[in-house]
Amino acid sequence: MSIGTERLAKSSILGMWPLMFFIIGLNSLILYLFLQEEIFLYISLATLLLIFQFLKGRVTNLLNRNKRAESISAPISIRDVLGLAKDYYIINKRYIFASAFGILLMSLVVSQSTIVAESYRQYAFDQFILDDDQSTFQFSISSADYGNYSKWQPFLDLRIDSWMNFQGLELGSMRSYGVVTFRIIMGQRFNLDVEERWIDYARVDTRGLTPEYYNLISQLPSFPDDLGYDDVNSLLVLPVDLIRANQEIGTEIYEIEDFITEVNGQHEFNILVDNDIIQGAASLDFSIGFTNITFAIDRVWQLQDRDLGYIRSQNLKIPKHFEQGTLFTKNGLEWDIFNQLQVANALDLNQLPYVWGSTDKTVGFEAIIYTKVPLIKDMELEIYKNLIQRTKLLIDGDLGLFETTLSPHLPQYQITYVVSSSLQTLITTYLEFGDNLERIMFMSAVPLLIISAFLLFFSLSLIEKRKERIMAKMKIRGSSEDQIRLVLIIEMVIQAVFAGIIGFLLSFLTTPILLKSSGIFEFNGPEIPLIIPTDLLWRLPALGFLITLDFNLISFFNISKIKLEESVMANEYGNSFWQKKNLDLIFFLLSGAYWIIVPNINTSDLPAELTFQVGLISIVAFLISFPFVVSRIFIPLIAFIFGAFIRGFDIFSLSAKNIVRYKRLTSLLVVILLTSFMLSFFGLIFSATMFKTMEEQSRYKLGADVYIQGIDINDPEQLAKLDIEGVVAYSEINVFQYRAQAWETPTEDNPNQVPTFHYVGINPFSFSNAAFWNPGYHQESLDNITAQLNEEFSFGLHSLQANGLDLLIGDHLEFRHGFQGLNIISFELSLTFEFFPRLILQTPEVSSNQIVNLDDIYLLMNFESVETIAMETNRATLDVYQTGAYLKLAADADADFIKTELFKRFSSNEEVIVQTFEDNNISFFSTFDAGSDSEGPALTFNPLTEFENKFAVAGLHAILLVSFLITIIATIFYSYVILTIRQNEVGVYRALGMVQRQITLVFVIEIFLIILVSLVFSFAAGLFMAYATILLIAGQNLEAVPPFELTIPVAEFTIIVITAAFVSFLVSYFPIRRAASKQTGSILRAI
Amino acid sequence: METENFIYVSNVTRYFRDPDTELNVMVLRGIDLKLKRGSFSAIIGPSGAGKTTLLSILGGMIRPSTGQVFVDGIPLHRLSENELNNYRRRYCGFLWQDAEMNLQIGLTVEQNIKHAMNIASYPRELRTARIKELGKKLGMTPRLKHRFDQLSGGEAIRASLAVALANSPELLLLDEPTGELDSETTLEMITYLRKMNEEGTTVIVVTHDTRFERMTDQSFYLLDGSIIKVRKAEGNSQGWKEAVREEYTVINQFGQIQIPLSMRSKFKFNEFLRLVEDDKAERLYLEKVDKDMSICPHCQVETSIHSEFCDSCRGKLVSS
Repeated sequence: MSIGTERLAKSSILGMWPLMFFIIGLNSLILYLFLQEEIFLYISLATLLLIFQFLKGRVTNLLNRNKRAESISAPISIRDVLGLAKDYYIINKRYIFASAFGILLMSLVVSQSTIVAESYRQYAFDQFILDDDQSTFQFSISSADYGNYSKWQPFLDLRIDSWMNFQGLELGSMRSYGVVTFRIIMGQRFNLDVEERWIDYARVDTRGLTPEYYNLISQLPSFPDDLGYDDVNSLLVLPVDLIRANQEIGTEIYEIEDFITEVNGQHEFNILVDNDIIQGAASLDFSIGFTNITFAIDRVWQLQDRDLGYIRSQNLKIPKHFEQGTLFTKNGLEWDIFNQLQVANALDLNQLPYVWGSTDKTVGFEAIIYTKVPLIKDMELEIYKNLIQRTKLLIDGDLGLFETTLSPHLPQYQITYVVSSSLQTLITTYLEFGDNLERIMFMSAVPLLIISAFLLFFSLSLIEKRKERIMAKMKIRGSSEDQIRLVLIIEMVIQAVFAGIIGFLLSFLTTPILLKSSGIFEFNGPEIPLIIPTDLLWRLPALGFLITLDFNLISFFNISKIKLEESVMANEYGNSFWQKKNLDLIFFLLSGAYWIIVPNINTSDLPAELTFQVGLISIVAFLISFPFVVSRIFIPLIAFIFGAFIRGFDIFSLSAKNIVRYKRLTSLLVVILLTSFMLSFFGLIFSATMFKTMEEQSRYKLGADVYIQGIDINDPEQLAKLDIEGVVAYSEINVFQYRAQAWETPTEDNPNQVPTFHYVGINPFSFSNAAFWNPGYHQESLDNITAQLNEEFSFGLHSLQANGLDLLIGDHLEFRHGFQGLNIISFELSLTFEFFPRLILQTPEVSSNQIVNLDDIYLLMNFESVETIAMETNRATLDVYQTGAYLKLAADADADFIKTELFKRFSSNEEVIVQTFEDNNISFFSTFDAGSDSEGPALTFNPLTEFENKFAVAGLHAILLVSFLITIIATIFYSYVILTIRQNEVGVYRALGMVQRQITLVFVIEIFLIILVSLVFSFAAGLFMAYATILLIAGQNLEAVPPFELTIPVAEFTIIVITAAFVSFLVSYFPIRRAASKQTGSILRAI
Repeated sequence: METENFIYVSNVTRYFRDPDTELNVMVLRGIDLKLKRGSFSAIIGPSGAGKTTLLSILGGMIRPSTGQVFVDGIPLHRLSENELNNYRRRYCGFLWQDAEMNLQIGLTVEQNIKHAMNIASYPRELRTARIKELGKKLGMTPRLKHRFDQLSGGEAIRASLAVALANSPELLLLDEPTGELDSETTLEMITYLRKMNEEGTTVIVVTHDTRFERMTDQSFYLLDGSIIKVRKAEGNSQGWKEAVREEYTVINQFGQIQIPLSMRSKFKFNEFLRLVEDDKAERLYLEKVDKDMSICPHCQVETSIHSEFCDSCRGKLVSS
């Protein structure tokens, strides 16, 4: 019969299938916003399109049906729905707030972890940029062609106020983003008779140009065409050694001759010029054969196919410089050349303007302002340009001294800016690390997200029962599913807006706190600045909004499930399938057994990867199963035993019985508490252990007792030889020897005299590493250095050392012994000696002709400088790559015995050198081996890598903090929501004659008991997990590193336990008291 | 046929799943009911007889397991969930025995009535007047602004009734409306219902209050899921009449049947029954079995299982 059915609307607009699609689309969108992977966006768009198509048909059908006169289906009136939503709000007010609170928390956690991740990421990037020696951005002020004013106008000075401008940059819009260094590069014009042809000069950058590469490029077929030295007047400055090695090649292109000028009779420079110039120059008397003009240097070497072919035919890899499309960069090069000049006593940089002004040979100047601005934006660039344009120049013109400002319009003082090509390189390099960092960030955010999602789910599912009742009552009155859905949508949207925006705004407040406090927990960790990228401003609220929708969708599924029977009112939860099958118990036992059995059996036959993965899975299984097992089995059991033992105290046993009675509700709280406590304790113990180990490890490198060089650390047989009584542990190292550059500033009294060199050298890498992990180490070392310094000593620092010492450009250093303090302008000077892990003091011998003997020091950094200074030694210095080991001896070990034993054991191996650190003055030994391969440094201090390590550990601390917060909130939730559900009980107690105090006590004891048991269990679990994780990451090399010792930070631990107990008590007390104060009648009726 | 009667119920059965034994239990066993538009009927019976289930079926809350239910020609048994919603909204005012199930707890009486009107999109211009009218008729005017927990039991029931009547339903279904009321209020309630009925509303009351018998057009006595007595207020015959009916049962897909309680108590079945096929008469009947007797494998005659040999043929019995 279809008489009746026609009159009734058959289907609802929002069916089940579109809902499913909607969920898929929604979650894809969330994933897209969270992970920024575009594939998710496409998926969500596709599903939304499907839904749109689907809905379109439905709505049309519905509209058509409503047009029919006989239809009695009530069209949905928006006004009525709004009325319903208002009713719903009044009915469910408290619960709406409760669930909105949960949602708020979730969105807070999400946006917080995102902001923290971004801040850490940006911080790491800043560090990376700052630590690197290269500028990322530079302004060039040049006046190469200022002939319009005066032919030989000397540039005198940049006014001092322009310095202030540059300092202002740092404090300006960029916060402390960048470091501005200022370099004045002077050009020298030869006083040649060749007239005005000398305007353009050029020079080849030889930085990074090893003889090997030089040989290569000079043989490349395209070399003559593309080098850019078409001007016959170009100059080419190259280290003599290179030229000597390749005489015949050079002459093919240019007629190159050695043109050696005596500078003050002491140092020699090699000026290689084009044949014409040599002829011209030869007839001249000029003092410095060097020039430097910016324009010519920016030539880019474009590799052509034939070049590539040539390189490959030589069985060589494509050098990095080639890959980047540029061979010649001007970065820092001029400085190096000036350094050479200065070392050679030809220049005193501080007096440059006057020196140069006094001659008629100045051709111009170049001021390059290097900025360390990672991500400069157009607007900020303008600010920089404006600031720089205000720079005043003092010019000694034909009309006397005059002051002028830089102008974008006047070509002679033009300001140009270039983004250094190395910026791209830097970013590319960073991104590799950045990916890792992001992965770590993600990994450490996942547990937080899981906990908060669980909490939210918990709160929503509790409320769900109540919602179902409300919806059932609505359905009794004939409410259609669409109506209820619309009401729910209104609720959701309001909640989502509320949660998205408030949670997001709140995270602005909480994240700095988190960042600050994670700095505290990080043991000497840096303070991370809060950085919120602009895209987060819409991404985070959107995420909050969508997540709210996502979680509220449970209600949507439940609408159709509601049955209008009296059993709707029953608050019964069924057993889950995993409970019926005891899956939690099985997983718990399996994962526990794994970590008890595996460490005690020999698993070396199994592949390491397999054991690692199985171990990881078992830890995760433990993490998941343990809370469920405890909440389901142990807590009721303990409560039962507790209740049985203390029969005498009625209130205690009543509380214990209640735990057993309401075990389903209790178990939800227990699961949350256990998970968050477990992670807290795990984070606490694991990170403390890791920090201790790392610190110990760096101390081994720093203060090892025996250093064995040349031992092959990949050879187990050799490593086995280290097993001598008294040796506590050993750490493997990779040794890479560096060279240092040395020069000496002449004194004012005697500019020609080079005083005796005294250097304090520290190995920058091990030093930085140690300083990174050991709080206070840098201060200790700085004290050491300054204590050693007196007037006779010079002070060499590598930028990494400076990092380790916590020195920044612009800092002022005061020394003891009346030594003049200095401002750190740049970290160009560097010197270190043999790769020693300890602070050493050494006086290199200076030969009679004031040249440092290369046998005494190994110089770092600049290849050509070394050669220039010590060119008479005429030896190839090559990097050496070796592996070795540090030994740590026991306090009472017999050092002599060990030493003899080591010598005995390694006597057959000539490469191995055993060295003990008996005092600070250790004789150098040289193992330069020209034939060995330079594979690059293995033991280098990479701030980013260390940062990663540290962050991974510090991330756990963040977990600790947030999960602690969650604990408190969970307890509030429990006491609030559960009490509302159990109000009946309060009424019954009241009716039985209990007073308010007693009722309060029953509930407080109950919660307290739960928290206490959770704490105990989660401590055990956290300890176990930390143990398992350390075993897992240590793998089979437990002895190779300083042995791991599970460290429980007692102070932090105590604080956490006491605070957790106290706060939980506090937060549960007041709602309980309030509930207990109600009168029987009002409670029992108002369920 | 069904169009003649406002309510037409035919052969309705309803099973419920017993959560303990996980067996299906038949709560309604073949109900037949015909009610005219504007009638006032009572369904009377002891607890567990299936009264509320029948009422729920009429109210479109649950569907019958078998049988047909027509209300105003609408086949409730065939409607989809959404159509049932519309049916409830359009036709039904429902009042549960438990007042808490009728009212949204946080709302006042007035808000509750408006809530029901919102759901049904009751014409806005009539709403205020209707609320006033209901308040006046039910004597709830001073209590309109009170919430559920501020009402007494009787007031709560009256408030529930106001909600049920909010949308002027054609069919009013009441489940034990007087359960919590004192006798005076009960009478008021009955009078009021009578008045509603006279205005054209079809009223069905589930009750065990015998006072309703006299007030209603007809009463049905429900026992163990079937109507066993009918009392009609036609002419002078005011007494109960046994309903002319035969016992029916349904065999479900697993072959299970449920024997009515009356038969069970009458015949006192023990646990074991023998199913006997009577091929000639084409019927199946149940036979009581003595637990201590078994069939002899030799002569097919009953014999005691305690003896070693068959009583009739003395054949050796195999102990199995």
